[in-house]
Amino acid sequence: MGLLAAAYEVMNNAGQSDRTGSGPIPGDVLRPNDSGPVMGGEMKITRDEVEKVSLLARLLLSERELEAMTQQLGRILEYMDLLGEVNTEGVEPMAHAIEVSNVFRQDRVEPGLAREEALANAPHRDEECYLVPAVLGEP
Amino acid sequence: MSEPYQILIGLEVHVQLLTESKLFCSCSTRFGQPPNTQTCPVCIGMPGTLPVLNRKAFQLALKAALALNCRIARFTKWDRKNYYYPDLPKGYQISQYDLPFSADGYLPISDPRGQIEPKRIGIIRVHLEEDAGKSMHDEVAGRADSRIDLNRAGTPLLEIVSRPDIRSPGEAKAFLTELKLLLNYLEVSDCNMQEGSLRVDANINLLVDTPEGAVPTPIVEVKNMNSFRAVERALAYEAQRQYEAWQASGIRQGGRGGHKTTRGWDEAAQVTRAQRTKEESSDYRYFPDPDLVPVTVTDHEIDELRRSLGELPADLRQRLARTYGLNAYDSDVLVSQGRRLVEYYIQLADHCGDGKLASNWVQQDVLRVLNERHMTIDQFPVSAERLGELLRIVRCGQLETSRARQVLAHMMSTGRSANQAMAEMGIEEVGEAELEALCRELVAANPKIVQQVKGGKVKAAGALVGQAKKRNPNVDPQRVHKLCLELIEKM
Ligand SMILES: [Zn+2]
Repeated sequence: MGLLAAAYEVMNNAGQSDRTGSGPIPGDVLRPNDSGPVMGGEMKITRDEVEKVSLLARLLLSERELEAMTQQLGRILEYMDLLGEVNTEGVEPMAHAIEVSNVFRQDRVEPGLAREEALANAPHRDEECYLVPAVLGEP
Repeated sequence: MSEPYQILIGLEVHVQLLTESKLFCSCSTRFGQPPNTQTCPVCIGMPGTLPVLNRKAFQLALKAALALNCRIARFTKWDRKNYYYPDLPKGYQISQYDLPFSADGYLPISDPRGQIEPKRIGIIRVHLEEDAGKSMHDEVAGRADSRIDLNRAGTPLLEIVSRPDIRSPGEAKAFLTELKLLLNYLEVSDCNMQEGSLRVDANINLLVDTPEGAVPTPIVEVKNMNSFRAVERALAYEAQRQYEAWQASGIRQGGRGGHKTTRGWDEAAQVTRAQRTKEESSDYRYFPDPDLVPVTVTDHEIDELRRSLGELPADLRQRLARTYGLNAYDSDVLVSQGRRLVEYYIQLADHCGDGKLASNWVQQDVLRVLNERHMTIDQFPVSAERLGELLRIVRCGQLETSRARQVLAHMMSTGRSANQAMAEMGIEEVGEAELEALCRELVAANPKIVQQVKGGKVKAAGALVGQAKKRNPNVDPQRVHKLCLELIEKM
C-alpha cells in the first residue's frame, strides 16, 4: 500500500503540467525542493535526455522547467527501480494490464461523421480539408 | 559484364488490405471519395474513443504471411509509434513493434525468360498497421497552407520487410511482381500503385571489391518510386551513383560520413536526390497501446487458414507445365494474368484436349480481346466450353486458324455456338475431290507460277493459295498449298 501511494504521489507531482496542455508550465506548479538534488545520488535521466524528449513531444520548456522536469522524471525512474527488487522469476511478462485478448469487430461499414462535423473543431479549414502550415518533406 | 561490386537491396513494401472498413473503426476504405467524408471520432483521434480490431483485416494479414512462408506468432500485440505529423491525427500510429504477428518467411522468385536465377528472397517480418491521412500541398499555386484529408487515416496496411537478399534491380522488380501476383491471388490486396495500395521503399548499398576485401558503402533509403519500372530504374541509377561516390570519396558504411541517408526518386529527371530527414525522426518511442488487447492465434486457426489459401501462383505454374505440357514461359504468362484467367484456360484446355493449342488461343486471341475492350475474363463473351468446342474442330483439321478466328469473332458478336456460327457463315468442309479439282484448275491456269516453283521458288505457290481462298473461302490453305506442290512436282 505504501508503495502505491508513493508512486501516485510521484506521478501526480510529475503530471501536474498536464493541466496546462502543451503550453509553457507555469512556475507555480513547481515545488521549491524540486530544484534540489535527487536523493540517492546518481541521476536517472540527464538534462539532455529530457531536452530531447521534450523536443520529440513538441513541448517548449524553459530552462527552469527543463531543470524541474529532469528532477521529477529522475525521481519517477528511480521509483521504478523499486520494481526491480520484486522477485519475478517464472513470471511471464504481460503485454496488457487486463487479461483479455481477441476482441474483434466485423468488417462492416457504418456511418461516421459528416464532413462538417469532422471539421467542426479545426482551427483552420476550407470547404473540404483541415488546413495546416505548409507540409514539406517526409515525416 | 561484371561490375567490381555487389548490390545489396532490401525492400519495405506497404500494401493496403482489401477490407470494406478501416483497421480499428467502421469507416469505409473506398478510394477516391471526397476529402474528409470517411472519418469518425476513432480515426481522427478524438479523446476517449476506443479502437477495435477488424477481424477480416487480421485474417487477410495471416493469409499473406502464411503464403510468404512466415512463422505465425501465437501471441501478438499492438504498439504506438509516436511522431508528430499533420496527417497523423492521434500523434501516434498504431503498429506492431517487438511482437509482430509473423516473421522469418521467404518468397521464391524466378524468371521464365532467364534474366535472373531462381532464388528465395527472405522476409524479415510482416506486420499490420494503420495508414496515415493524406497531406496535399499545392506548390504551383503558392499556397501557404497544406490541406489534410483524413479519409485514408486508419486504413489497414500490411508492412512486408525483405532481407537484403536482392542482388539487382531486376531481382527487385521480380520480387515485387511475384509479391503483387501472390497477394492478388489471395485477394489480400489489389496492389494498385496508382491508388497507393502498394508502396515501396528500398534500402540499397554496395559491397565494393577492394584489395583489402569487400567494403560496404553507406546504406541509402530510396523513396518516391511510383511504379515497378521506377523501382528498377531508381535502383540501377542509385547503384551506379554509389559506386561513383565511393570512387570519389572512399566513404564506407559506419565510417566518417557513412551513416544511412534518404534519397527520393525524381521520375522526370530519372535521378535520385538527397532528402532532408530530421535527426530525431527515428526515435519513435514505441510502447504497447493500452487501448488494444493482444491477439492470440491457435494452431487450428492457422491450419484452417492454410487450407483456405487455394492454389498459389508457384503451384499453378507447375501444374500447367505438368498437366498441360506448357513451357515455363507460357505457364508464366497465363498465371500472371490472375486466377480467373487460369481457371478459364484450364476449362478450355480440358474441353479441347490440347493444352498447347488452348494456351495459344488464350494468349493470342482471348487476351487480345480483353486488352482491346478493357475487359476481365469474366466479361469475355465466349465461355471456355464454347471456345473449347471451336478448338476441337480446329484440332481435327476441319477448320484452319484464320477461318477459326473469324468464327470466334462471329461467336463473340452473336453469342452463337461454334457449329451454329459456322453454319451461319456458310462454312463447310471442302471434300477431298472438290479440293483436288480446284487445285488442278489453278495449276493449269498459272503456268508462270508453276515455272517459278519448279525453278526452286517454292514461295511462289502462296499466290495459288490466295486464288483458291478467293474461289472458295472454306478451303484449308495448308491443304491447298500441299496439294498444289504435289501436283506441280508431278508435272
Ligand atoms: Zn473511422
